[in-house]
Amino acid sequence: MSPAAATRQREDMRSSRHGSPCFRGVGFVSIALGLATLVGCSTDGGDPTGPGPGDPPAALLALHSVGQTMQGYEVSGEISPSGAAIDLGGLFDGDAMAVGGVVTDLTAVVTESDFGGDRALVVDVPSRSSVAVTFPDETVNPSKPFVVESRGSAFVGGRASNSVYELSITVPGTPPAVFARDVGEFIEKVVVANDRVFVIDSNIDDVDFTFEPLGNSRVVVFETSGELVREIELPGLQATNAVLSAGRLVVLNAGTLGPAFEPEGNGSLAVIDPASLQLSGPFPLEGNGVSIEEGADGRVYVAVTSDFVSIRTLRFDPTGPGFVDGPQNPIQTRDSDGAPLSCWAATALSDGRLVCATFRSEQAGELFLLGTDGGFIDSTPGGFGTTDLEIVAP
Amino acid sequence: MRGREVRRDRTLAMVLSLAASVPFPATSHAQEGPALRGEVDEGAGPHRLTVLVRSESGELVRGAIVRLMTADRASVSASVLVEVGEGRYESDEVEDGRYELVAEALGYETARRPVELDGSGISITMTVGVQPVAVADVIAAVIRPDAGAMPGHATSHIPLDGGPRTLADRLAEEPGVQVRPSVGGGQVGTVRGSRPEGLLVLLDGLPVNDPLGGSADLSRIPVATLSAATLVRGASPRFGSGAIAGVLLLESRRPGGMSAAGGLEVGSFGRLAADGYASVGGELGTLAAGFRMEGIENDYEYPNRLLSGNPVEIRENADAEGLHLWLSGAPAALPVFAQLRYDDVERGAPGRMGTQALDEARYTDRSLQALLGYGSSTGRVTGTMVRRDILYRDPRRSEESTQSLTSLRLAGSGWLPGLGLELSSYLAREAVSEAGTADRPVRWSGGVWLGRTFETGRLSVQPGVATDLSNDGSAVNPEIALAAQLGPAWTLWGRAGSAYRLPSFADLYAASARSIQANPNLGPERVVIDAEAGVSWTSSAGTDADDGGSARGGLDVQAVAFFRRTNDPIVWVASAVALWSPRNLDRLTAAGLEIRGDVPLGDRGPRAGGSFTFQRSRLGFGDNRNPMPYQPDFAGDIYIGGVVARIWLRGAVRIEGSRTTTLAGVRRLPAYAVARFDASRGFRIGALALEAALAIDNLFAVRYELIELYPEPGRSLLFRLELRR
Repeated sequence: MSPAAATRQREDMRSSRHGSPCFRGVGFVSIALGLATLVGCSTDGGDPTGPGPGDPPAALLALHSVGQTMQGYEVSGEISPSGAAIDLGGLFDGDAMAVGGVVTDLTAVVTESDFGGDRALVVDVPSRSSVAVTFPDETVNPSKPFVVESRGSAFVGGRASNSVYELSITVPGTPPAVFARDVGEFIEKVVVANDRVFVIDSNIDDVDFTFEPLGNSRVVVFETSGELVREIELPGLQATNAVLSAGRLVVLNAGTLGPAFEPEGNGSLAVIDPASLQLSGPFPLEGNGVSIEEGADGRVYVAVTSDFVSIRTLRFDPTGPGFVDGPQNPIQTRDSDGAPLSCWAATALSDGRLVCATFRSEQAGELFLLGTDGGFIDSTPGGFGTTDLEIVAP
Repeated sequence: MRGREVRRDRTLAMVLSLAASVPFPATSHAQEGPALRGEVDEGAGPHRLTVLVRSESGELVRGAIVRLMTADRASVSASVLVEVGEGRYESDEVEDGRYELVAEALGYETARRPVELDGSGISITMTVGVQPVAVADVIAAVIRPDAGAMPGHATSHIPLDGGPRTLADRLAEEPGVQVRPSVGGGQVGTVRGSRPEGLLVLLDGLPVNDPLGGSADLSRIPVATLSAATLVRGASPRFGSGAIAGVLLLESRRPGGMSAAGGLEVGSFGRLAADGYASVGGELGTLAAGFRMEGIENDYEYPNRLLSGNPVEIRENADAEGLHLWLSGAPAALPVFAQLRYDDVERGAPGRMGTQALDEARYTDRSLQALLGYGSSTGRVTGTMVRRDILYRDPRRSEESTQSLTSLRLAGSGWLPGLGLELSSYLAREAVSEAGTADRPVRWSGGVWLGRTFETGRLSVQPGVATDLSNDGSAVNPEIALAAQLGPAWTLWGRAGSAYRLPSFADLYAASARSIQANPNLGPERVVIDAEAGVSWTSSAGTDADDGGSARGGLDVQAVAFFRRTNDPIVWVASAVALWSPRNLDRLTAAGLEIRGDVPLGDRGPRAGGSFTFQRSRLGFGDNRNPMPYQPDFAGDIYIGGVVARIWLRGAVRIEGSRTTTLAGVRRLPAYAVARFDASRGFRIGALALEAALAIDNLFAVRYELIELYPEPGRSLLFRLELRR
C-alpha cells in the first residue's frame, strides 16, 4: 500500500467514525479489533473483582512472531479472539511491537532485523494492512519500537547502525529521520518520556559478532531537541527491553549466558525516574530475563527463566520501587488443571487480572486469562510464537 | 553360467517388479517393444535406419555404440548412429545396399546382424545379451547398491538424455516429487509429501545427503557425470537409515569401451559449462576419465513484490560454479573395479528478496570419494571412503564455519540361489569435525537386509527384513512386496513396510549458539507404515513381438495410492523461551494418489502424457494438524513430444497447487503453471555423432516462487552441443 493510499484509507476510516466521544472511544476499539459487539460506555475498568455486566470488554493485541501475524483479543469474563489475524508478511522476524492511538486510531509498529529485511512495518490495525518503512542506513537491524502518540511517530534504534530514528506513523512510508548517530553499541529500545529520549544500550559486541558484554548496560539520555543530556550506567548486563510504567522507566537487564549458552541467572531490573534521572536498582531476578510488559494496573510483569524451559512470572511495582511478587514468590500462574504455566509474556488488565501468552513454535500457543493470583479463568488458542502483548483497551 | 541361472530364477520377480517400475519415459518417443525383427517404418524416412537396443529382459539400453558397417569388411568403413532417445539410435541417410549393424554396450555382449536397405526407412530392434563374466558386469554389480529392481515400489528410471537439463529438472517431472531451492542456494527434493530429509540420494552407493542437515543437494551432481538415475518412491528399509520416503540411486559414468564425448553449454544468466569424457578399453581392462566445469551468474531480474510498484531488481549472490572430476577403471584379469570422484561446488547463499543480509554469504561443498569393489554375478563387496568439507562464510558477519565429514563404508551383497535368498549388509563409520572445536562425534552403523522371493505362476511375493544397528539408534524394519501379472496388459503390485532415519549430526551435536541448542538425546524418527498399491495397464504389452517391434507402443496408464505414517519425526522447535532445538514430535502422515499416462496421438504422430499427484501431508502434534509447508495438494506435468523432420521436440507444462509457507499456515504461495520446451537434433560427422539441444525454461516468463520470497528466474534458454565418438 502506498503512503498516499494509506493516508486515504486512514482518512476514510476516520470519516466513518461519528458520534459521541463514548462511541468513538469504545467503538473504535471494537472496530479496530474486529469486535462484533458494541458494548457499554463505561471506561472505568478498575474493579478488582472483575468485570460486571455492562462493563466494556478489555482488548489487547498479541504478536505471534513465528506465525508472522498480529491478532486482536477481547477480554470480558473470558478471553477470545477478535477478528482475523493480520498477516505481517513473509519477511517478518521481529519479536516486539508498540501500539498507539487507542482512541483516535490504532496503529502498531513492528520491526524486522536485517535478516528479515531491515524494515519497520506500520500496521493499520482496523484495515489489517501495513506499510513497510525502510531506513536510510544500509544495515540497521532495528530495535524494539516505541510509539509517541503526541508526535505521531515511533522511535526505533539501530542495533547495527548505532543510530536512533524517528518514523512517522501518521504518514506511514515516510522515510525515517535520523534523530541521533553514534549512540551506544547495541540499541535495544528507545523510550520517550518527559520530553526526553532514553536510548537503552545493551552494550554488547556486535562488531566481531561475539555478542558478549562490553560492559554494563547503559541508558543514553537526550532532550527531544536532540541535545545529549547524560549517559547512565546501569547496574546490570545485557539490557534487552524497557517499559514506561507509572511514570518510571523500568529496564530489563536480561543477564548473560554461559559458554554453552546456558542462563547465568544474573538478570535484574533497574528503574530510572525520567524527570530526575535518579537510578534505582538493581533488583535481581535470580534468573535471566525473557520479557517485560507494562500492565494496565500500574505494575510491571517480568518473565524469568533459569533453564530455557520453564518461566516464572514476577510482578514489580515501579513506584516503590520493588517486587510485589518477586523471585522467591513468583505469581503461581496455573493452567485449568492446576499445572504451572510458563508465560513468555504476561501483562495485566486494569482490574489486575492477568493475560499470559505461552510460546509454541510447532503449533499455536494459548492465551490465558488468569486471576490476580495467577489462578486459571479462561484460555483461547493463540498463535505461533507469541512474544508480545499490548493492552489497547484496559 | 551360475549367474545366468540366478537371473532366470529371478526373472519373474524382475519382470513383475519392472512392471511396477514406471514404463513411461520422460521423452515420450522412447516407448518401444522388445521384438527382434526389423520392419518397414515410414516414419523413419527414406534411407534411414532406426535401431532400438534392448536387453534380454526388454529394457532399453542407452549409451550403446551402434555402428553401421559396410558389408565389405576390407574397407572397414563405418558410421555411428546417433542416440535420439532412450535406447533409440538413428542413422543419417545411407545408400541402398547390404550392411552389418554392430551394437556395443557396457555390460552386454556385442550384437551383430546383417541388414539390407532398399530405399525405404527401416526400424530394427537389436537385443543384446548380458555379458556373462566381464569387467563391465563387475562394474555394474559393484556400483549399484542393489542390482535389479525394487519389488513393490513405483520406480522411475530418470532419463539422462534429451538435452542440458539438470538432475533436479528431470526429477521434478516425476509424480510425487517436488523440487525446491534450499536455503544454502542448492536444490532439494521431496517425495510423496515428505521433507527433504526423507529422500535418500545415493551416488554409487554412498549418501549424498548432507550429514549435518540430512537433506541432499541435487545441484551438486551434474547429469553429465552420470550414467543412470533411478528414483524409488516409498520407504526402502534395505538401504538403512534415511530412505523413509524415497531413494534416488545415481551411478557415475562408467568406462564404455573405446569412446569419447565432449559437451559445451551456454545459457541465460551467464551460464557456461563444459564437460568431457574418454574411455579406453582393451585386453588389459578399461579406464575412463571425465570432467565437468560449470558456472552461472544467475543475475536475473525479478519484481520485488515487497515494495510499492513491484520494482524490478537484480538477484544478488545467486551465482554458482562447480568442478567435477572422475576416474574409473577395471582390470580385465580381475573382477575388481576402482573409482575416484571429486566434486567441488562453490556458490552464493542468497537471502530472501528485500534483504541484503546474506548478499555476501558463500557456501562451498567439496568431496573426494574413492571406491574399490569386487563383484561377480552373484555378489559384490565394496569399500568406499569419502572426505567431504562443507564451508560457510559470511564476511558481513565475520562468520565462518568449516565442517568435515570422513566416511568409511564396507558393503556387500549376494544371492544364495539354493535358498532363493538375497542378502546385503554394510558397516559404516562417519566422523564429523568442525574447525575450531575439539568435538569429533563418530557414528558407527551397520545393517543386514535379508529377502526371499516366492513365485507362484503370475504372483510374486517378496518378504524381507532389515536390521540396523547404530550408536545413535537401532531398528528392525520388515517389508513385504507383492506383484501380480494379470494378463499381458495388467499388473498389480503392493507393498508395506517400515523404515527409520537417524538424527543428523547437526541434530545431535550442533555447537550451541544463541537460541540454538542440539539435542543429544534425540531418537530416530520411525516410519511405522509406508504402503502403496499400484496398478498399471499397458496396451502394447505382449504385442510388440508380434507387431515387429513397433517403436510406438500404445496407451500406458499407471495409478499408485500411497500412505505413510512417521512417528517421532525430528523437527526443530522452540522451547517456551524460544530456544530452538530438535525434538521428536508426534507424527507425520502423508497419503495420496499418483497417476501417470502416456498415449500416442494417431498412428504416426507424437506422444502425449502426463503425471498427476494428489496428496495430503500433515504434521500432527497433540490435537494439532498442520499442513506440511511447501507441499501442494496437487501437482502435475503434461507433455507432448515427438520427432518432426528428424528434430525431437517436446513441450511440457508443470502445474503446482498452492502451498503453505510455514507450519502456522498463515500464507499460501499461489498455484502456478510454467511451460518448458526442448528440442534436439542429431548429426553424423564421419565416425562422430553430434547432438545439438535447446531447452527453454519458463517459456512465458511466469513470475513465481517455490520458496516464499525467493524469486525464480523468468524465461531462460540453454543450448548444449555434444560430440560423441
